[in-house]
Amino acid sequence: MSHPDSAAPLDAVPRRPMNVRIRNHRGTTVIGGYEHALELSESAAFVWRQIDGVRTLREIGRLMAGEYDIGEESAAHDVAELAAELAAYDLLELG
Amino acid sequence: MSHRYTQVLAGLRTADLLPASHECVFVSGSVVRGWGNPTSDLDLHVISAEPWTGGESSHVALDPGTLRHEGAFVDGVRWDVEYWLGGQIEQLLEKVSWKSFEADHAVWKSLSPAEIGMLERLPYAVAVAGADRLHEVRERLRSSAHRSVFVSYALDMADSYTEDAAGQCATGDLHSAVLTARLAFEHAVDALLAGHGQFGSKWPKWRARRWQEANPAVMTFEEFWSLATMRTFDPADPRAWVEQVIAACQKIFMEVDV
Repeated sequence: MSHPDSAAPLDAVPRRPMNVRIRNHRGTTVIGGYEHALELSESAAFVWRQIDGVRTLREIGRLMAGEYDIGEESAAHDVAELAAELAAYDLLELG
Repeated sequence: MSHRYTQVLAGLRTADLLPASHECVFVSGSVVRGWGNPTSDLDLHVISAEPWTGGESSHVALDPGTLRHEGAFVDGVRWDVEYWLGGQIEQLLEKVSWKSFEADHAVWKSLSPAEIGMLERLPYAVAVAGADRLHEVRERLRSSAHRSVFVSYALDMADSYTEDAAGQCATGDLHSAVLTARLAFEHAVDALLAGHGQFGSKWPKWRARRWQEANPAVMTFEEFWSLATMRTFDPADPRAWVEQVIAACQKIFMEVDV
């Protein structure tokens, strides 16, 4: 389901679509739109929580790097990949 | 038994509203929670083995499928008395068991309004007779999927309204979207509060009280109150308010565990 070659631009500002559903149950987080649903890993759920319609992907990557003690460049790349994947499933809007 | 309710049994007997035998009699509602006011009713529930035959009836999705209700005025206070059979309580507990919930997370669809009311009131009830029976029911409720059932119920409702609000915004029907977003927010808050054990979806008038009891970390009371009272709503830009409310709903969804 991942698209390793596709990544969203780091200066894009992600927004959650209005109609997205979110469920936390027994340690798992699932998000669903009108057509698709995905289970988020722990780190993806962390990224999802940081989306506020203001932060860029680069800024979220910085937060992720701090949370998981990894390099900022690597974290930003992971965030951009995740964003592209979620956007492909209509679970994220990129502005 | 609370000293506040020592006269309840005698009052029921005097009004001929107490069955000859009963498993439990308890008081619930706003008065018990300390939120009562001079116009508050006293909500009483009688659980017995034999059916009560007087009063009015309402439907429940149980066997038998009716509840009986009586009303009385005692010392200027209206008493609403609801009569349940012990077997109906057992069926209700089975409906919110983990087995039922794991088989269908939307088990709430099988609950009638009266059943939802009973399940939401039991955690705060005060026994005036049969305290052991009430304690036993509450212990079984505590180890059941009771909380998850009500969280799922509120989340499902909130999802439905959120999706509707998005659709209404997409077609430019912003008046409808505003009203729908309000409903989505109310259910999202109910989900959050149910997650904190503050049940009461049937009584939205106490939502602010329940918020203050739960004191959830996801947003402050002032933030909740600002949205609930539409303080930031601009008639010239209703879409902005809808988007703000739905974003708040999603923030809540992220912090609620089913």
